[in-house]
Amino acid sequence: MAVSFNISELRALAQQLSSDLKMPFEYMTHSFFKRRMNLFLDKNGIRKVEQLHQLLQDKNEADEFCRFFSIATTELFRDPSFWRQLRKILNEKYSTSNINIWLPDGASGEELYSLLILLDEIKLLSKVNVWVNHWSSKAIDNLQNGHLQMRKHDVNAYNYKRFEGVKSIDSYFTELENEVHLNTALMHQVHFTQGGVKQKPTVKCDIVILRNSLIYYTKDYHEEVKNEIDKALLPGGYVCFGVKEQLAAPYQNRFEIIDTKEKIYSKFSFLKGE
Amino acid sequence: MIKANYKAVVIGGSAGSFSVVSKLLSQLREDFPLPVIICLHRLKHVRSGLVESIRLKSKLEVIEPNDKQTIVAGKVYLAPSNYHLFVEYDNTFSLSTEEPLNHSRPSIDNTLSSAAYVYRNKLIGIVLTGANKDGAKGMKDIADKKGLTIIQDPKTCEMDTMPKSVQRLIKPEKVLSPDEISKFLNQLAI
Repeated sequence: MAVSFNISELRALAQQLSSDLKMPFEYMTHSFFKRRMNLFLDKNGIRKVEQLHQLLQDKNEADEFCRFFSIATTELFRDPSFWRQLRKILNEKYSTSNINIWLPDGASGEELYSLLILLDEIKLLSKVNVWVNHWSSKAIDNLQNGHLQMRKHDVNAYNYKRFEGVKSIDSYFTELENEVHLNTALMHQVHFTQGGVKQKPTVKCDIVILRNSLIYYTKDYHEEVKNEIDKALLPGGYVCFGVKEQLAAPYQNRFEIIDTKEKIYSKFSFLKGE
Repeated sequence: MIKANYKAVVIGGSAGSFSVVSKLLSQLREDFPLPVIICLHRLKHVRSGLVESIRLKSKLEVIEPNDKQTIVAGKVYLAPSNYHLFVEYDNTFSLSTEEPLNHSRPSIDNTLSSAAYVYRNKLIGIVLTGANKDGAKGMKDIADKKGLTIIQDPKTCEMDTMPKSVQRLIKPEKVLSPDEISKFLNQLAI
């Protein structure tokens, strides 16, 4: 018999896990937290909450638990039109300068790898420092190794074609021991940090990419994240959300939307004096 | 008029149910009193086109909701491509890029089950023509919460796997043709 929670029990559990593991479980949407929790409990054969707490005493298990609540990006070049638009912005505005790009949620790596391939193709790779955060140290190890799930190969190749990439997607990856890995030479200027959006890069950023991550969190947390992004971003810089995400109204004082379809916002340049 | 305190209608079908959905929406009355939440299997790489096509014949406003969008009575919501669509307790939608369920994202089971959890016995669940079993588990969840379950009569389906999969798990309260479904919904009182 699986563990059955009512709403208040789930809220209390989320609060306790936030406090214990320092990941914002308490701000996750109710349906998301409930279904991921049930999936995790089923997967690990856990029948009592006490068993869960006992399991999470182990550092590796706690790390794996945090990773389980960070959702994969699903595919390389998801929404190819977004990546085409980002390429246009990079070409038009940043082709001659050194820049910093921050991914506050590295997820399963597809966003990072897509970005690195894009930067390589427009010959900007050596000019860009990429900063990537993840809650799980094991996930960071995987990201550093350029690990990619092979079963999505056809989807990735199709998206890359629609992105209008100039090479073959296969040329960026090598197969090692039945696993596919991104060419790690592309990772030369990527910096990883364990943590969330509060662990900002040590420099101000030109672009922040946080697509399809906030959909798992409540509006209260959105405000917190947006404020952190605001602090991390240079005036005139860009922030990119998922195509079905939207910023709340108060943010309009500081950002303007420059692409409604792809959900790309720009921080007002006149905020330079801050 | 049927006096019932329903709060929402949720409809599932595969890509082939487009014509049934389109006809159903063209027949719903302009002052239809409930939100209509639709989850159809669709091509994940095609973001536009489907909602625009459905809008053509609908008397009600048809929206592809953003994450956290509030659910409003009298509007039709279509699950966006490549996202799962869930109903939340605060009467909003949430989206997800989690793993496909029944090879589908959006998955009908996900939308139906989350709606059942929130609306309980105030929900009408409808499963239309379709070629896989997605939606059956969601309809069982609706039945378990004492919501009203309706399937398209398999005899009127192009592909009857989806409604028949529902019948394997529960005995739907109503088995109706597309015209009968819209007639029934139009009888719902505010």
